[in-house]
Amino acid sequence: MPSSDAGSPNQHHADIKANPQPQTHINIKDSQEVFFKIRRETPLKKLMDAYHERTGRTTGTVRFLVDGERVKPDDTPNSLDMEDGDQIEVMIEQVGGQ
Amino acid sequence: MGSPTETIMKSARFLSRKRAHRDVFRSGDLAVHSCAMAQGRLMEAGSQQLSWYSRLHLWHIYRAARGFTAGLFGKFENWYRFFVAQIREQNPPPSKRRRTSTSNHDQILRGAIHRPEEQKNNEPLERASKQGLSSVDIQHVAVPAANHVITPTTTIDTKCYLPKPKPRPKKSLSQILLERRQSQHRIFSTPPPRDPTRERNDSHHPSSTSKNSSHEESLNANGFAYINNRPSILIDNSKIPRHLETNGDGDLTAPSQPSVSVPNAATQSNPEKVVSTHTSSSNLGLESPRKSKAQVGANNSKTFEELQEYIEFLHSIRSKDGIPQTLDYAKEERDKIIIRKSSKIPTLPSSDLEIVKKALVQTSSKTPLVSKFSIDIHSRDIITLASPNWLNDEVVNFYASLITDRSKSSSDMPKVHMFNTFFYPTLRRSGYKGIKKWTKRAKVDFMDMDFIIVPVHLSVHWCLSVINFRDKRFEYWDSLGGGGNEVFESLRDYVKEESAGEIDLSQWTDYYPKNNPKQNNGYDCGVFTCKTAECISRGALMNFDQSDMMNIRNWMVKEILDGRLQQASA
Repeated sequence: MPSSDAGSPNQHHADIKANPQPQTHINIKDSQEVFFKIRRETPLKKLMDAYHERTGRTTGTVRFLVDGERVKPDDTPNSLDMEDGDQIEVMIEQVGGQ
Repeated sequence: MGSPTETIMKSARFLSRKRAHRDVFRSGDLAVHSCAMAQGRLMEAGSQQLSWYSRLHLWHIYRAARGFTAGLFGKFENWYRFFVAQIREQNPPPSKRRRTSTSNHDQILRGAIHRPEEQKNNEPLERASKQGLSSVDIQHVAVPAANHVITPTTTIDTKCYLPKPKPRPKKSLSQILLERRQSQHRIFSTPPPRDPTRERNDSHHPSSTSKNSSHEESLNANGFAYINNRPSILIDNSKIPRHLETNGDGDLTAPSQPSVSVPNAATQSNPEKVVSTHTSSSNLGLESPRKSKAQVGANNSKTFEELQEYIEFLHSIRSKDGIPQTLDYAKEERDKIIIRKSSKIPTLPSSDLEIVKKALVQTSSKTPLVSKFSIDIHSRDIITLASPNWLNDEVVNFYASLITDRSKSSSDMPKVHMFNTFFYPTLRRSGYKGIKKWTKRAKVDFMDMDFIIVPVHLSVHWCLSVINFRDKRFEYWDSLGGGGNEVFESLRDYVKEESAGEIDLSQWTDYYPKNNPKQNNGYDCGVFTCKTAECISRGALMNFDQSDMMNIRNWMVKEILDGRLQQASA
């Protein structure tokens, strides 16, 4: 779903649809919201790599979260118990010191 | 950005608009940003000549900056002083622009920047103090001519001799006490200005209570009284007992020459006339004591009124939406023992220190140093724990997981869940629906928790908010001393939604501690945040401050490498 996050530049969405049926289609909504369709057994690393490639962000500067839990590269929609329409949120690295 | 002057005006306008909601000054991020902005502009504008109007606004910025980041922007203050000195030198303000308004703000402004007349009058005093003369040596103190005739050569039977402050005569305690009691017959004092909040219980008139013990204390051993923190002596001639006039003892022995002589006519015809001599070269120094006394009273009542107004204003803000107020002074008093330094954090053993030092050397290795809680800590992450680096989210999140993990694994600890650093931004951005599955996924029994800790990331600053189910309050811990109204609002909404209305939030208060451990630099806030969370998670008092930061950073490296928290519960 499109979100109104225009005001926060350091957070982007990649809405990744995990479809229960084996699917190989990848839907890209726009540059910031990316819709994928993948098999439930496919490691999410594939999506992460696709995201990195598409946005040009290097590994280590973005964090992938499902409902607040970090996504490991070898997690699959099955292992994370994801439902159809669930989101993977992409967060940009935060630093702070002042 | 336009010219420096323009920018200053802009930021000043911004700030003075915010002054209407003074509460805003407690919100940390805005404060920090505004101060930093003002600092930068000031430095830029250091060499510019500004109009009188701009200077007024500069003062706004300066006050705002000082108000809450006292000490943090020490440089800023120096800059301001330098700047003001320069302006005064280059561009003496025309006297016709002098304002007649007597608002507190203007008084300060005038006092800080612009007082040519007073300076002229103070010259003798200043010269004298430069030469190292004590007050009794000053012959040419200009008593305002309207009231007194200066007759330095006249000898008068009602002389008043100022005691020499130094050297102090060595006396026994009983002697001093006796003299103090005696001296009260002739020296009537106004106590040092008090905390206006206490003023309301203090209804008696100062001069009518010479027996009052608190007034006794305001006289020091030499018999000096203090008016408005400046040493002064008020002498009421009518009250001087006859036998003391000629019989000066120890402390009050007449110096070789009388310093201030009271004209005969004045003292005899008007027994209430009083004379004051101020040892400091303050601008109050030449006013008649009556006036200064009145001024002290007026100032006190004025600040008290202002304070009351301010409190009422805060109340009116807070009481909207039925949110109870936090200005519970008794409670704040209790909370003053937040820091307990008795249980000091132990230094890291030297064997561990070697491991830590090794880990803090940057490597380009792709393999993570630690991998736990689905978080990979690489060298580039752990290196942020080397002082003076800023902490990144990986370290804070890993530490949060350590805290949650410890609470889960030991039954005698408070039940704590610490969300990761992305909780708050998600809550802000997409509201409750953005994070409603988080507790389910983390298997948190929301209603059974003691504390839920939410790290807050404010673009360049880490701080902490706590949902405290024990004390029924929302807490905001900021090592820069900011306040978190927005955070409180968000968390209030979150708890309301998450508990599905089961928790009665009308009894919950917002709380920001006044004396939590504070950072005095620009890079340790992440460490403060993590350590504060750790202390809260075991229900303990804070046992650290800025001086422990290096040690805590080392401990954190060790704890992250080990994948568990080391420190014993207090």
